[in-house]
Amino acid sequence: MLSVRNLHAEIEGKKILKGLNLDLGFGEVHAIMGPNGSGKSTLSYLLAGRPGYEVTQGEIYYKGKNLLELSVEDRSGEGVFLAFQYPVEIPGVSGMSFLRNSLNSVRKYRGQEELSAAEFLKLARGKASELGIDQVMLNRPVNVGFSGGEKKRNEVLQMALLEPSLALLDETDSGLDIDALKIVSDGFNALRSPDRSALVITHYQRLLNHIVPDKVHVLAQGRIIETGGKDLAMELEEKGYGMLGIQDGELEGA
Amino acid sequence: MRERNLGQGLEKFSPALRNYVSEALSFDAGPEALSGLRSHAREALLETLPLGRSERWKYTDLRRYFAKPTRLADAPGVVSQQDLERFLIKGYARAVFIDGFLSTELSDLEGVEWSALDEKIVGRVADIKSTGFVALNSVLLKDGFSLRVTKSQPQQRPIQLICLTSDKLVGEIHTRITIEIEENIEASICETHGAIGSGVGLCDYVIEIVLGKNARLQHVVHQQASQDIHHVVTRAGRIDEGAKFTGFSLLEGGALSRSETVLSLTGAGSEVKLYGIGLMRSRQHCDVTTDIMHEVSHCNSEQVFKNVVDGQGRTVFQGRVYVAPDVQGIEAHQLNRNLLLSKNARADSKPELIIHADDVKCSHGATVGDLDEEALFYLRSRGVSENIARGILIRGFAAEMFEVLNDKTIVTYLDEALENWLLCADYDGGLA
Repeated sequence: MLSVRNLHAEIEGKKILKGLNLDLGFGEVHAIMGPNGSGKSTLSYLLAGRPGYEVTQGEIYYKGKNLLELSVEDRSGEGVFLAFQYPVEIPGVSGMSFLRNSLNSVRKYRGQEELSAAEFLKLARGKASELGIDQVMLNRPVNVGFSGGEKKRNEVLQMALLEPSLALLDETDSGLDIDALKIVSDGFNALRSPDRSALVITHYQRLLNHIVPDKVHVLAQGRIIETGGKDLAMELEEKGYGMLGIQDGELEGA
Repeated sequence: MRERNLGQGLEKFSPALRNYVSEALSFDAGPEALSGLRSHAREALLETLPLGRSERWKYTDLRRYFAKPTRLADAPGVVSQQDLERFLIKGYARAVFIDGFLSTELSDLEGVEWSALDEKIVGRVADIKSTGFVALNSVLLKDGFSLRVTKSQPQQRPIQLICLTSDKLVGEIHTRITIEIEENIEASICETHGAIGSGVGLCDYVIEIVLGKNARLQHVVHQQASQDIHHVVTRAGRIDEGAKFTGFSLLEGGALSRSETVLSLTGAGSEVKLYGIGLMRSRQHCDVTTDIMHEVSHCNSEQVFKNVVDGQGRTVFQGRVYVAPDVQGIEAHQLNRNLLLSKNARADSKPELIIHADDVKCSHGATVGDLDEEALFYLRSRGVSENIARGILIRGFAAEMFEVLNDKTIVTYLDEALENWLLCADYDGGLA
């Protein structure tokens, strides 16, 4: 599904990733943990194609395609989905219009027929109610005035509609209370299937009780320094990153 | 003798302008009943016409127009019912002006209380001594109309004032409209300014508005003009005790356009809300100038204007708030936000607060910026192409203003105009 080889990347001349290697198989869920500033978010942004990052070395192959050559929107069409750590507020654009433009763009890319307004409404309402999202919220401008939990739920709704094959969850647990965490995780788990994979980026082990990963990687100093099973997350939670000889936050601002 | 005095100082102007002014000063073909107003206005004409530099007309320069002014239009062009169709709001009564002249055939004023210009009201609110077009309009106005919404004849249907220029127009239009809403009465009026074909010249409307005690007026404006029209609308209003004026404008410019709104809050509990969107592209110019005068204690105003400027378009926002000496308990806020879509687009923003009192809460703000890169990335990461993502964000920036309106018909009407503008400017605003 995803193969990252010797990835070096920088932003504004600052080196963030320094030789990252990662292999994610079909149907697998990997967690990426690591201290602040280690490059976790950079990795997810690079995979999604956010402008501003420069890859100086290495390559990323996704389903056999050179991901770095695809535009942001084409990656989405190909099934890459980034659930944002800080979902963006878009005043003046209703949630419904956002979702419909998004879904139909992706369907068009995938050679599927675009949905009519009525078909879309039915689908979106159904998915929204599964996630406990109020209809009223969908008519409001995208994320404007939403609580942290509402924003994250909205991300999962988008994921449910776009049915990605590679989901990137960037600190999806931040800002969530326990109930919201459960709803969001259940929403994600419902999407798990043998042809869908995910990278779950998180700072804490808590999320991994709900979304159980096949592998856990520790990202520090721009590369993966440790890989293990789900027990690694438990151990880290208990002992801290110090057990790997690094300190949380050591690279902040580096 | 008198004429020579009035024309004093003309020597410095071009022969064409000299000629224009002396013709204006000798013009007397306006309504008989307004001859008194005309003669007062003649005296103020040279001082008030924005022929040179002045603070109030700093960003909107009419000198080029006045160097080669056109002549007064003598008769309206021909416009068919079919031409009119695309300007109509369903369910509204309407007064239709073609090249500045009221067309009774095209109008539908059943159930509306109206008359020829009522000399008791004309000139009562608009100040002929203010720099701008009021004096010129008073001198040269040929036609107009007085509208009243009263207790004995309340509004059955909202009223649309449709002011169009015809393809035939080469010249100047000077027209006056007065609107009077009696106390405790509620009304909804929409001004639609548009062009059929490509007229050339100057379009000058002065609109005087009087709101009686506790009256309510929703005043919507949709303005378009042909690219060779200089479009100037001056609205002057007096808002009495407890009355509420809510204005919403969607302005699309012209060769040059100016929307000037001067409102006096003259009674406690009165309120003015002015909202607007300017959509400029190619070489269009749009000037929104407001002057809100808090004359008494306990009256509030709020203004929010947003502009989307593309191509070599240009917008001006001059918002002035005046608070009279010794009044209390005033709230006055204004905000101007500009979205510049091209390197050559320009927005000038000039808030001005003149406050002679202490117990006042005032704020003003202005922003100028490009599209939000984060939002652009967000949309693209959801599969939306960059071009459509831009369109969606531009649309959202403007459409956010509609949230202040509760009137579904009007929102649909304005949204359609926004949609058309986006299409004409080659932006795809995506699916609604």
